Amino acid sequence: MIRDLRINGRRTFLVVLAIGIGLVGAGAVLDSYSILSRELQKNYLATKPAAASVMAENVDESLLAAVRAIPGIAGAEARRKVVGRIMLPGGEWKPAWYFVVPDFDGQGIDTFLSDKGAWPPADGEVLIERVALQVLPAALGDTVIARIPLGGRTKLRFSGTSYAPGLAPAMMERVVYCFVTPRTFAMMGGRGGLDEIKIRVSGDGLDAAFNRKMGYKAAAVATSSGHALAGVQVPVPGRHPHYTQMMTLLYPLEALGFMAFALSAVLAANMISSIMSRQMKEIGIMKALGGSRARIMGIYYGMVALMGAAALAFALPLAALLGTLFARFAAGMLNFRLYDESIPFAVYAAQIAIGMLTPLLVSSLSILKGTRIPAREAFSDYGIDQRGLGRGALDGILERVGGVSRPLLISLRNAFRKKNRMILTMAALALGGAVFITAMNVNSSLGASIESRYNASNYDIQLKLSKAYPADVALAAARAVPGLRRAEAWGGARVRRVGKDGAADLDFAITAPPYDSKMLSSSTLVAGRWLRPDDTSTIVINQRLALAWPDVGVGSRVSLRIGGADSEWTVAGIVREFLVEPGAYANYLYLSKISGQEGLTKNIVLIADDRGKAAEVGEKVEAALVGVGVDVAEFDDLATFIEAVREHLLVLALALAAITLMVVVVGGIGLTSSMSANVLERTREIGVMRAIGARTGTILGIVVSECAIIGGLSWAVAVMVSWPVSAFLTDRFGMMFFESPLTFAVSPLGLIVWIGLSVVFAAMTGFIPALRAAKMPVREAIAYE
Amino acid sequence: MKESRLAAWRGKNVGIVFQFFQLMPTLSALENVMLPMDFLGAIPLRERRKRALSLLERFGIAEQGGKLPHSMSGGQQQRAAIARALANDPPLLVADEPTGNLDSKTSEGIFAAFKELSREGKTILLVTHERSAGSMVDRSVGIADGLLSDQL
Repeated sequence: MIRDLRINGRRTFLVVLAIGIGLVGAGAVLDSYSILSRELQKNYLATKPAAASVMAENVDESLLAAVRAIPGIAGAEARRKVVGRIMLPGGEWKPAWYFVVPDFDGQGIDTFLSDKGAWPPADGEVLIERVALQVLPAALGDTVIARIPLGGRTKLRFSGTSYAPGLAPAMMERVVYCFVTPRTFAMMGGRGGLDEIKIRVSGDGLDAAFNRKMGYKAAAVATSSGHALAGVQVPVPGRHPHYTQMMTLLYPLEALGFMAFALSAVLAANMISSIMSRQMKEIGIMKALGGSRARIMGIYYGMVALMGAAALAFALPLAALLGTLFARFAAGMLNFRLYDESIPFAVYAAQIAIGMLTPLLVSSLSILKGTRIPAREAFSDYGIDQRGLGRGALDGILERVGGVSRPLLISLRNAFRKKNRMILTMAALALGGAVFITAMNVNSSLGASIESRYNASNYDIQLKLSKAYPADVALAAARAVPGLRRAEAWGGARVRRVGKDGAADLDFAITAPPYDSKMLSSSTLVAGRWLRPDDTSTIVINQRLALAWPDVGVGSRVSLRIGGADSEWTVAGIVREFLVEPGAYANYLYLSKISGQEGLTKNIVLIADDRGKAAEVGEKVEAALVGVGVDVAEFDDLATFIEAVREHLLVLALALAAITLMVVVVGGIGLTSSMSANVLERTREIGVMRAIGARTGTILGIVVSECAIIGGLSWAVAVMVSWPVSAFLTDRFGMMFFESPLTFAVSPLGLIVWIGLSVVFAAMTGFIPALRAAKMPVREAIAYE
Repeated sequence: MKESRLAAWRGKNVGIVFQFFQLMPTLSALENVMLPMDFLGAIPLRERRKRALSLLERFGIAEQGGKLPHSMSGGQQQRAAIARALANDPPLLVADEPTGNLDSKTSEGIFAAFKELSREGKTILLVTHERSAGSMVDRSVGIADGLLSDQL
């Protein structure tokens, strides 16, 4: 048996390679998953996550002491987060979150660590989260310019980096996380004290109901001691806020990794079946010499097991290497450290089990069938293999095909002659194609979704003002700037939904465009209707908010806390928005009236004459606003935002491309071996054709057409399979990553490239063995066994 | 000569009949006869089917024309193979043990067919173990252990 494997070295090598590559795909996914899920949790728990956060005004030491005294609360710390901007001198403003931290060394809840440079920062200095440097390319020691709403420009020294694994990765949020002391905050023009109490509860903190109860107890203490309450937030206990995001990053890779594995299993089955069909004589001889069927089966199972072991020998370490590399990459993307890169023993054991059992399982059919042949039949093989077409419906159709030349008829009928092998080859190629096309479609859907997000927004720049200003003043200043097609003043408010128990939860933005706004399209409605000019207490929510409110649908009534007062609203519709925060829309007139901001605005929204110059025009508008005393807190440039998202998704596209490449390689190996087996078996037939006058070109034409027919058919199957698979993946992917389904788009490039690859590649793989057979002297070819 | 040119030369000048018939298993008897015409391209496209049918008719198997080889008897297959060898009307017919795989009655029919072809002017080179064939041929040469031994 071992000698047989060695004599047929090339064939053995191909089988081992095919099984091995599939194992590498599946193994790498398993390995990286085991590392990432363990380490993400470890990193997160190391930050000592808060059980709940209470938003209240002017949090001071006496309030903290009162909260700490509540039975069941193990600790309480005060923080503040302010949304502002930051830039390098001469650079562009970037959105920034300023975390005001009273005691850097004494943190015990939602902690972050020192990374490089100063710790804690001195007054007048700022620490920046390490991955936020991808958003703001500053070097240690640089001077940065900081701004918070209603504060002036303040120069701060960038003195160190921090590592905050509990926060969403800065480059994903496109926000620069900055950490400053309360005195630095005051230097920046910050008013008011700390506004958030983070609490830790006694016990393991994994009981969400208990955490919630403690949160509301702390809130009650704050209210009773005269601190205005904005809300209570209770995160899912024990789970990193980006756990889902990481799983999403792995999801398409997992799916494709296992598809690649399935592909390699099919290929192995195919190759082993072709090996078995060439072992008939040997089996006959063994049987004639008294070998029992069980004994002979044992020999072939042993051979397959040996190939599985050989595949494992190279697949196991390679998978571990790739899995670790990917884990490092994903950890980098999500900003957490891998403290331990070891792969659990159970994961190795699973791979060994899969690697050994799969080849045995997939080869069973051909081994059972091959060893069943009686000795007499095994020897009676002479002349051209006379098994022509079968008796099925397809054979009937093929037999009736007319109007084409006999060489083409041979190609067509030969393609379907050995149906089992044909089905396996087709399945392998189709599966490969399905993976390829799926990867391309997911990629293309991502692109299309970003494009549609860009096109759905009819504005280029949104300037969020530090507070409410007279709309007519702001609009007049903006409209005086040249290069502007349209400017609108929108109202808006940060609001929270009030639950039945009177507690406010998730904080989100209501945007209130004027009723005649031309800058929002209602084309993305998924349920209900858009706002009407005469709507009063009516909101339209986006899909992300709808997801956060599973109990709310069109027609539901919700209670919202706006500026301290609660009011009832009806949900009129749900819009699908991509790459946005949870949010809602209301009519400007009504919202401004109930929030006491009639005639005032908090947003100036712009369309430039030339979309390419929008940022430039926006900056001029900001300068004009500052000129009339209007302070701009945030500057949202849609094009920059879209560009950032696109760059961000490039990584994912590359991962998909890597899988695709793997599939092409595995598919190529399988196809080569299957096609060459097909041609080798017909060497004698080719010899006869030569004997009756076929030229080399004619024979090549026959074989190449046959392979191309299989390639073309497999493409059709691949397209049919990949359609639902990619639609499903695209949907899941969008929901998990963006909390909104992606716009499904078929990649024409994927379809074209794959038909090219499958047909050309199939033809090429047939070409070489056919050329070899055609070059063989007729006498030898006819005598070939 | 190169293999390809040799093949073309054979197609035109030599018809080969094999011991195991060697018909293309995925082509019907009629299509098998048309195959060498497709390879050589000397006979106009429109005439190929008519010519193939008349050859099958000549050997008494026209009715089997639409059948695939595996559903024909050995004798029928060998007749189809001779018809195929004559497809391009070659002057020389080479037959390697054409009756080695047939019963004696069927063998007689095959020899009769060769005899008739010979009368029509075809040169037939026949290799056989059948001693009785000697009485039917114009000239026979014995080969023993790879050497021409004697004229029989």
